Amino acid sequence: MDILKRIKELETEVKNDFSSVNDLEELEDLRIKYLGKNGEISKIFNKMSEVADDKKPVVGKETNIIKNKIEKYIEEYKEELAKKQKKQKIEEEKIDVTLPGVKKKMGHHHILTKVMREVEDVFLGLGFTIEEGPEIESEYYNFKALNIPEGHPARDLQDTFYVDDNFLLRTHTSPVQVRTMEKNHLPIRMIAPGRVYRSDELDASHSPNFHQVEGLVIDEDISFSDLKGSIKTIVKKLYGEDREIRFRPSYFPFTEPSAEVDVSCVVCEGKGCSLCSNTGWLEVMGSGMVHPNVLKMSGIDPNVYSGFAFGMGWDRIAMLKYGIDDIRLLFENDARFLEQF
Amino acid sequence: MKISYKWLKSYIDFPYSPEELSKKLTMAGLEVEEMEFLGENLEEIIVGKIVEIKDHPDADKLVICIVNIGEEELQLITGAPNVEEGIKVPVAKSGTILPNGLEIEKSKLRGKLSSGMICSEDELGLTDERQSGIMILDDSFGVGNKFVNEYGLDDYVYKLDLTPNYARCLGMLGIAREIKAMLGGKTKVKYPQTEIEEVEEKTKDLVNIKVNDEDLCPRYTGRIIKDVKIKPSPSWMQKRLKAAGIRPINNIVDITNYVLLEYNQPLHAFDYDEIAGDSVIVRKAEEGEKLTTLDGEKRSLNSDNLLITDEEKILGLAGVMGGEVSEVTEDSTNIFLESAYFNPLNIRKTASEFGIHSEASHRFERDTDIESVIEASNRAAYLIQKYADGTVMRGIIDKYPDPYEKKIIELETDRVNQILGLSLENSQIKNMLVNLEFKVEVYENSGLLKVSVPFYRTDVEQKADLIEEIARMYGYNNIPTTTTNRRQQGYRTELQKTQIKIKDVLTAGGLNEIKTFSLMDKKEYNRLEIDSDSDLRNWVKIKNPLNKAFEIMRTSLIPGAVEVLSNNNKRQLSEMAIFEIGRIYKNKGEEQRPFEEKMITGGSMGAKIDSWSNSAPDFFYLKGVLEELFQRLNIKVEYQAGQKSFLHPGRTAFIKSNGQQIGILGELSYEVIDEYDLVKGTTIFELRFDKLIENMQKKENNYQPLPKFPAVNRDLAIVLDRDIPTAQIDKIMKKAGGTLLEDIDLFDLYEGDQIDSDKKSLAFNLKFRSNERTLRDKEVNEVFNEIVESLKEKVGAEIRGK
Repeated sequence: MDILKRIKELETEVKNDFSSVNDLEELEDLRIKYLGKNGEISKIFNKMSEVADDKKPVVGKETNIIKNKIEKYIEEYKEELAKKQKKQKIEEEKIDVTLPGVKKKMGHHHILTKVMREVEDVFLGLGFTIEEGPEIESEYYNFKALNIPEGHPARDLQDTFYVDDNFLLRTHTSPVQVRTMEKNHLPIRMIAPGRVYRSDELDASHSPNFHQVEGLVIDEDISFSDLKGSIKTIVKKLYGEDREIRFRPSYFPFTEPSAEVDVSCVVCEGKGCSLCSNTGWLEVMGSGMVHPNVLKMSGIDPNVYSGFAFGMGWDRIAMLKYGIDDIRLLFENDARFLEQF
Repeated sequence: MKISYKWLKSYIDFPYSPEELSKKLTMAGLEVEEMEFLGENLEEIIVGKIVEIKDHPDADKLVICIVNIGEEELQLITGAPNVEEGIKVPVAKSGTILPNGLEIEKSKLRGKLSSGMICSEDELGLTDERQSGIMILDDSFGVGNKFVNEYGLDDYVYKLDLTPNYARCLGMLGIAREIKAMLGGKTKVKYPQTEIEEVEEKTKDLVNIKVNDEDLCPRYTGRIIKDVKIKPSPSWMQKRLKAAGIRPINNIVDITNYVLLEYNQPLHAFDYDEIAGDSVIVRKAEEGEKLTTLDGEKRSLNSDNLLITDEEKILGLAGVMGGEVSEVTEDSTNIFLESAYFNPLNIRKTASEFGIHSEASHRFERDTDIESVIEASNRAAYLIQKYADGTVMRGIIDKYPDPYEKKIIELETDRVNQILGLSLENSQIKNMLVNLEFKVEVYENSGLLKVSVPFYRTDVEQKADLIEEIARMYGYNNIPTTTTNRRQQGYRTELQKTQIKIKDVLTAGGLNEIKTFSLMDKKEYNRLEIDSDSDLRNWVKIKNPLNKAFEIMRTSLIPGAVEVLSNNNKRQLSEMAIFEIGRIYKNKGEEQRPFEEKMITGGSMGAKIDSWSNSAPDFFYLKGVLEELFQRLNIKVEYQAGQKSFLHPGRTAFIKSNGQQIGILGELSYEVIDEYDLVKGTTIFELRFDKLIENMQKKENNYQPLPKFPAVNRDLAIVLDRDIPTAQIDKIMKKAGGTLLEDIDLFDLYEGDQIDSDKKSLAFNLKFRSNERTLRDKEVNEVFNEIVESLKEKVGAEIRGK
């Protein structure tokens, strides 16, 4: 057979073969078929000895040309097929992006922690520090040093748990005021969040242990108008800038003058609803100018220093902010409640 | 204290509507808790007059009444036995809804049309008892007028929540004076009538009064009123008492109560004929004396109790409650009327000792006006004369050996302005105080005011009290708001920051924060099988607990955490992880301040990932979270197997740092799991907050440079005795590995069929690295072999695989 003719045939064969190749495996088969050890090109080279000498250069050249062509084809198709294959793989790898994510469960802070961080941030910004004191207190710190001597009717307002004749469970966070004043690092700007106790049966609005946050400011020249200014800032930060605020005469043995602070009801905006007993107002804080007797007892000269104090129900802030109508929820620790905050 | 709008108006003429009055009182410090319209649901009832009664043709028991209701006459059918021509009755026309919800409709009764109903008292909600007949009204009532107006129910009642400094407002006159001040002092208070016509016979000839304890009874007055006729008090008085929440009894008792409500002065009427020896003696009780009080209770007295007695017996507990023997009854004819002032502290003590809270003790213990005892007595005598036909004996015995003087307080205008943040003039301050009936003198050309306090202002003791009155009169809401110049920076202490960090790490680890009660039931300690001699039973006990559930203070947060997990499991929430930071309390013995300590407790139930295939997923989940916590706080800890009564004996670890126990971690025992209905495997931990803080190592601020040279990793699998703790293997490897061994990572634990039952297999990945050079294989092999040899030698480990 004429080798040159065979080369021509091969050229057509190659063209046909490569044009119908589908994937990299087929391509590899073709490579072996043509370029392999026993491939078509090898076969031609092996037949070189049969070719007349004068024809050898032509045959050699033609064979090399076709060999190069095949190599070029392989390269081209390889790239193309690789692309095609990748595309197909990508196609196959398609996922349902709406399947749920792998659960990485984080815990939740208790609502009281969450609320207190908010409260603390407000006060830290106003230059306050945060103080703590014991929950089992002496009669002196809980009552006497706060201008509530024995036999004072104000003791009736707070049903007290007693441990013995000397100690009781603090009925308010106010003893921390006294402890802070006694240290005599003036001026004072502090808050004292903490747990307090009253002998109230557990129901939707009472709990034998609950939480308060107390505040105290003592400096030279502190006036009732300063109290109003500070409390207004605090209340608006906690309950919203658009809340109305009013101050109402009240009574706490350790402050004089004393004021109850009301904000317009968060539910009815002052129109009257069950939350605010139809008054349009919610009591959120007790406050007042520190009583001179209290300053004196803690070793502060009331002629030089004056100050104001205030106290809020910590649980109540949380309940009002989140519309919780039963204090027991705060201590029941139902996972479905805890995980809402 | 309950007061009625109309009654108050009889003492002072004010221009406020019922709603306005409520607001004004609240803003003046007399907080209105509730406001109630007395005629609620009765406004449609009309006064009618029965002009004719005809028999019902078809019913024996019914009659047809023609009732004039002013503009028209109605035909009303009734079965009431007490109808009569000419009487006035309350009529509900058709369409009216009665207080009990019944809607009156036009209806035919046995064929005759009835266009409304004649009502009985119970139908109008005026009594709870069922009435057989209709209500017959006073003939003075105007036909066609509204029943509520004629009957005096067109009135509002306010329930005041009075703080202790408003004791003066426990009487109508006190409130009237407040309103006078609100109105700028121009409107006068109308004081009640007190003119008595006394007879010749003198009180002092009939009775002798002796006060043995003048400290407890600084003033005692008495008078005799004879020939009283005991009967019901007039209806207007009964209505006012009822509105104030006091049950009418008879004219004498009602009058003393009425005067109490007017003057805030409790009075007591004794049956004069029961007083032996015509002597009234005020003295302290002797230990163990007995008295049966008006409420029928027999009480055993002590030497702090002040008594009213005669020569033979005890007549009453002074200022708190009278005795049964001397009670004014239907048979009484002559009375001894007491009006006195008692020491507030003593009354408070006695009242609380006996658990008596009477209208009298409530007032005496809040302090009363020592100067108004005579006037109140006069008022009562006047009313008794008028409404009980009493004959008032001449004079009043007044034991008042040491008359009180008015308090004088000096007040500087500057001080007022400084405390309130105002700039008031002397005259403004004076006016405000004068409106409140203080007497004020201004020292010539100075800012000093001399203020004389009325006797009834028992709450005013010093400048601060006057400053509050000025603030109140100026109006709290008229005082400007200012901001203070502060000289401090707000900050959190390191301790506070650390607590926040702990909470953040624990929540990031998947634990929900809980808050449990500090008060608890001690039976929980039995349920948890806490040893009877355990320090955890060193409770602080509450002397006056509400009930058993809140009887002691917790000594551990664990019972609370266990209960929370249990409660959630009962609600099918059986996969849960929690923590709490809170205080525990321990008894330090009699008279000693109990000990308080902050603890961190956590628990996990129903965790799924069993990393070591040893069915302790909760244990190792919590341990992982704690390891992260200790790392973040820079605390070095060790875990040692331990025992605790409520924990699984083979699954409990003591957590130690620097040789000190700082906490425990352990799976709850089978018994506790059963007792609390928990999921097997539930694990808890408890850490001592202060001990954590103590063992935190200060971290250098300098950063660790990143490694420059590559690490070489080698795996090592060993088989060794099951009981040898991994921590021990770690130590051996670290020691043998020296500085080149950078990290040890246990990635497999195997116990099972492939090896002996008393053996376990551990597989580690060891990471070697030098900070100075790239390690050669030969170097690593040397160290690795040393580790292997050391393990063989020290714990008899066999090397698995190659």
